[in-house]
Amino acid sequence: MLAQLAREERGRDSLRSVLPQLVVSDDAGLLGEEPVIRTRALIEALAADLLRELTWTALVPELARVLAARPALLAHCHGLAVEGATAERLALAGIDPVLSPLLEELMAGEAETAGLAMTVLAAQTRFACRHRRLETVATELPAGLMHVALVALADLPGGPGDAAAGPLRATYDEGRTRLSLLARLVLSAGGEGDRLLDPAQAGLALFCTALSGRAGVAREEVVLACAPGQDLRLALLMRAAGASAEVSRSALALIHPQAGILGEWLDLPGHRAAALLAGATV
Amino acid sequence: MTGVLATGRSDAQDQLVAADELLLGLHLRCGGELPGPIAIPALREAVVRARATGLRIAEPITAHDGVELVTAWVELEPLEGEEEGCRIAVRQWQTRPVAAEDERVSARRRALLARQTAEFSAQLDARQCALVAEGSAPDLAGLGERMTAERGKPWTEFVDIEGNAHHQPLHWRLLDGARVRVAGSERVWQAALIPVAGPVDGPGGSPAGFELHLTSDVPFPAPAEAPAGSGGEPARMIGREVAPVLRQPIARIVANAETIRSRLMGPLAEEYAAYAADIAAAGQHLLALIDDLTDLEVVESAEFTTSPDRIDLAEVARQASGILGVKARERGIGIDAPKLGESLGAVAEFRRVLQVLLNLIGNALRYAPEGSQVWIRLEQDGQFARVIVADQGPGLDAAQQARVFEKFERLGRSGDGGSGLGLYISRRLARAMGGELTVESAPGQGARFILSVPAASSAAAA
Repeated sequence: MLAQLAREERGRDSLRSVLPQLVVSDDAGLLGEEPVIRTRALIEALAADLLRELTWTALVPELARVLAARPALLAHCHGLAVEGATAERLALAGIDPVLSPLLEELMAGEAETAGLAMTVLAAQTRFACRHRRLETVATELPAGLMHVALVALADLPGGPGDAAAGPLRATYDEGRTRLSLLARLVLSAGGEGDRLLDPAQAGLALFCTALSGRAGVAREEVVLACAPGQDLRLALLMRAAGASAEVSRSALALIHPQAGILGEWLDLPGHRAAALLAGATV
Repeated sequence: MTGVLATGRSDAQDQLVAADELLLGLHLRCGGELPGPIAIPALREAVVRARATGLRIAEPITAHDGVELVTAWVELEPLEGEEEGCRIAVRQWQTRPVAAEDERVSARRRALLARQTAEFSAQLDARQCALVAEGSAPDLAGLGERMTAERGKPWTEFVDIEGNAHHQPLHWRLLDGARVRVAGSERVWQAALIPVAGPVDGPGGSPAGFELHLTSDVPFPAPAEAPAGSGGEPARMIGREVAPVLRQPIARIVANAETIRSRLMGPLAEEYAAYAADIAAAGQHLLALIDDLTDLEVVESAEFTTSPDRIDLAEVARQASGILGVKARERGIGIDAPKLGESLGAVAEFRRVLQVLLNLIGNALRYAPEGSQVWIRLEQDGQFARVIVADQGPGLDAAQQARVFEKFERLGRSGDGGSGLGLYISRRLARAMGGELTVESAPGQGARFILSVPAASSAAAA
């Protein structure tokens, strides 16, 4: 198993290191893979969105280049691309990318949670649309990355400087981002326990947020573990999150239907799984 | 805003200057004041971030308030202009009991606490039969004597276990935590059974032995007056008067520091967890020092004698290496103890020889390099039976060898938890048993500590 984990890890590492080159390079031969194209498109969309209100559209390619050089931002956009692609893949298996059974129940439940669930539904709908159109907006970035993007914008040579970043900073509200809304809904629906860790019940978006919280890893880690070839990592994350072997098995069957038999690793104690993941991430 | 459970405000120095009850309560339980620096670590960190970036932040925070784990959704709005600081809104508030720890971690901590708070301890074999017993509580002195005299009987035969009429030892997990009555003591005791020297759920299925510790919430009633006219023995106070009084608060400090350390693993910065670990380690050092001072008083008192018995030095050596097996594995040091079947008869007191060997092997583990080997060898030389503990440590030169058995001698070392009393006490114990403790060593060649006690045959002849 360690060998497989190491193999997956090497794959991930090389992905991280080649991604910046792929995104900013003009070598069309290397851009055949869908997530890479999408990542590039999202970075450009982000740059365009940051410059939209201004008459600086000529600077979009330059800002995109600068943003792509920020690993955290790039990883985030890559995560969005992978999440969108995985959601489309799961839609073929009957998992609605927008409205999941659990979300539907929450919308019919207690007033405040219901309102929140509605807001999540709207955010999720926008995300799905944007994924199809290869778009994203800066106001959907987590606060830490928004800060990175705004600093890049303000520092852009020949750009609008602080004048542009100021108003964007003032109107930004992390509480309205899809990722923040998902996290709040997961906290609010904490009583749902294992259902949040069942992608068939929770839907991919809530599943990723819930699993990242319980396993104590960044949400992007979970999103990447849902990509093809990362089945062992997902299995370990499920165990680290304290999901039962049964719940883990059904999640894996759904997200990684082609995966080999991981039976014994689904019985691994949670702390061992967490230790393996921590060791493999270093 | 709907659904806001509490609001608060911080200033430009990240001090909490106003807060509703819910938020204020948590802040106060975390040790904060109003106004005062934000005491909820995750909230403070988020507020600093919101002010530094000038962005509105919305995220969950997690905090321990000493009893429960609180998870709250907070929204932070950095303020500009005159009133610099942050507006804080709390939207969700969930509490749950502190999550169960990793079992090995909590077992380790429980073992630590039981050892430090126990007023009576015994080593048991795999069938829960007593091997050695020792207690500091006067009302359990009889129990210790009975257990030692009838070594090899299950410990459950010497006590009354509440809610359990028969004296068969049950599975250790069922007895762990049992309330116990002991003849001769008015107090109710709690038993802690700690598996030792073997994987609990390993291939063998059961532990190779146990530590039994008895603790009580009720202190032993203090004597009405201090014994008069005991001048000329300044160390006398420590063991009987001061030690019990010091032990409990220090054990509590250790317990709390350990609790803090483990709780901070999640939401709090690593360095704070390290501070708590330092506090716990310092507390353990103090406890060990109290133990040593208590022993010192005992071995220096005029009426100190040992109760020699026919013992097997190989068995004592195996016991000692079993007890220190965990520590040795932590340090990656192998202990080569006498094999099963080896035996060397001697006339000495079992628990005193064990104490000396624990000290010698403990020293070897402390000073020998990682990955090295500690050998325990037996030999008979005329009237004496010998146990030799040899290590691959830095060794001692002639001058150091001359000083190493002196009281409070640390050979220039500090900060490693030693008191400088271990070897002094060990030599006193060896001499009290009619034996000797010596060292052979050269710098760079490791050290050989040799404990000699009367051999069984010679005593029989005498």
